[in-house]
Amino acid sequence: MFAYLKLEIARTLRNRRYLFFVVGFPVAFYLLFTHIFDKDVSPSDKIEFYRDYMIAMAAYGAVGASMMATGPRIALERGLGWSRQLRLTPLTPGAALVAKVLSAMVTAAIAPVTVTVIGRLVNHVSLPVGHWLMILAFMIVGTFPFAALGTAIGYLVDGETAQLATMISYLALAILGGFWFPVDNFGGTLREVARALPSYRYADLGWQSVQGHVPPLLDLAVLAAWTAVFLALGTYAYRRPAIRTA
Amino acid sequence: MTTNVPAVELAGLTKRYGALTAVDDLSISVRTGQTVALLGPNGAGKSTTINVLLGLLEADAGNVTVLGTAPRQAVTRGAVGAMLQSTGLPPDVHVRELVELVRALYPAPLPYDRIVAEAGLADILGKRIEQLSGGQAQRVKLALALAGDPRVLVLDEPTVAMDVETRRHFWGRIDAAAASGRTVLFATHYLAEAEEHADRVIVIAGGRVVADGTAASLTSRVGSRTVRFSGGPADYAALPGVSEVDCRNGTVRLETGDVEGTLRALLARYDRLPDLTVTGASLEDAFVALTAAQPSTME
Repeated sequence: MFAYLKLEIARTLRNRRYLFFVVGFPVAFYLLFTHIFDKDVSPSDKIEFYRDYMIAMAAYGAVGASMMATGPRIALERGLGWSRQLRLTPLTPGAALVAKVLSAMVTAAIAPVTVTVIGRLVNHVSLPVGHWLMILAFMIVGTFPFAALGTAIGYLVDGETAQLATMISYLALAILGGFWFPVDNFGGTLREVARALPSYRYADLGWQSVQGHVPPLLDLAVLAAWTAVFLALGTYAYRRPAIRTA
Repeated sequence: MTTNVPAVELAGLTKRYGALTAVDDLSISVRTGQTVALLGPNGAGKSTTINVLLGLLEADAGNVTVLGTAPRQAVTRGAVGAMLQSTGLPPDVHVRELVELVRALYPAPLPYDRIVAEAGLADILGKRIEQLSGGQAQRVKLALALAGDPRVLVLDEPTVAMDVETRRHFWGRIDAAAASGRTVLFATHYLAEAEEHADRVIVIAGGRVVADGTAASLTSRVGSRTVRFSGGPADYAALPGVSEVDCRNGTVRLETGDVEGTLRALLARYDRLPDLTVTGASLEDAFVALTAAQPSTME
């Protein structure tokens, strides 16, 4: 399984479009927003703005990375017959899936790492070492529900549809989760919806860590609930006869 | 490697898809070292049989073993390697990496250099999968099938869509794999491939075995011979053994189940039989005769 994990990571990193999307975009947005659209931010709020936007863009990249490395790829490989080819080897389908999810989480880590490095070096976000580590730890482990969602999409729908479904759910999660505009600016109902989303709770792990707070249990509970939903959906999709025999 | 355990043993294998019975109480036993062709029209149950044999499908009834173990176990041990039409290779990978990956999955893989040599990959190792031609991709799939150093090699229409030259090269590799003691079981549409490369031909139709033997024994089972000579129309149908008469452009063609009787009668009747030839049935004739009566069920 380790050999397959290694190959999956290498394959993902080789895909320029993927890297552009999941590292290029968040970094570009971060620099753009913090240097061009920061005119109406008062100097006293700037530190906070740089800091929280760093977390938002790290989350934006990581959520996208973990979903793009699973959903469209799993659907594509099912269509090509690669999953079936692997079933002719000793690697079990379960181990192949674990390798796929782990590789998505490992490659997704590039986004928070890059964005926080930019935050530190370019935008001078200064934090104690412990806070940095806590941010990275939460933001890397926290991609699991999104890798699970991508996996479920990859088994639910085929090829192009999976690509589209992944993009749509990714963008919806990003916008409603407050990655671009703080959730506090949303209206009443929308704000409540946003707070129930895994994307908001995931980013909140970072927003809490950046201030040195241990994230509230509610964040973890909401993420755990969504993880259970995505895993159940994935299991259902995977067990359908059309998938098992194809 | 000699052993009394059959390479492949199918006993009473039955597989249904809803109301369709794709494989119907099929029993086949393949000795180690044999090269067996599985022949049959579309929907005869060849692919279903192979999928069950590799543990990709569960049988509804019957017992299936590969070298004495259940199919999935045989796959896990590296006892069986396979090349299927329904599988494919992923993009963003070099051929070398893919071979190395699949080797790493097996407990006792074939040495890397031997895989490269046996599958003929030397010139494409650095290529990415998406750059390969169809024939090259088939070579990579053969390499993956050989990676676990399997004693049993299963090939489902391996040369489909290959041009003549590529197909000839490809069979050279399969023959070499068979010569090194591997049991080879292949399904094909090309009768010439079965005739040329298999020691044993199993004809399947409607999910059942309808014939099993060497290519020569199958063709002789059809029994009919063709007698041809130059001559005009006459009452040839009355001759002993003649089942079919065709007189065209000054050539007479007779199908007969009794060559000797037909010839004696002809020679008694005519002084000369210019351009006389007698030919046996081809495997193709045998195939048509053997499978004609069988309804096909599904792909």
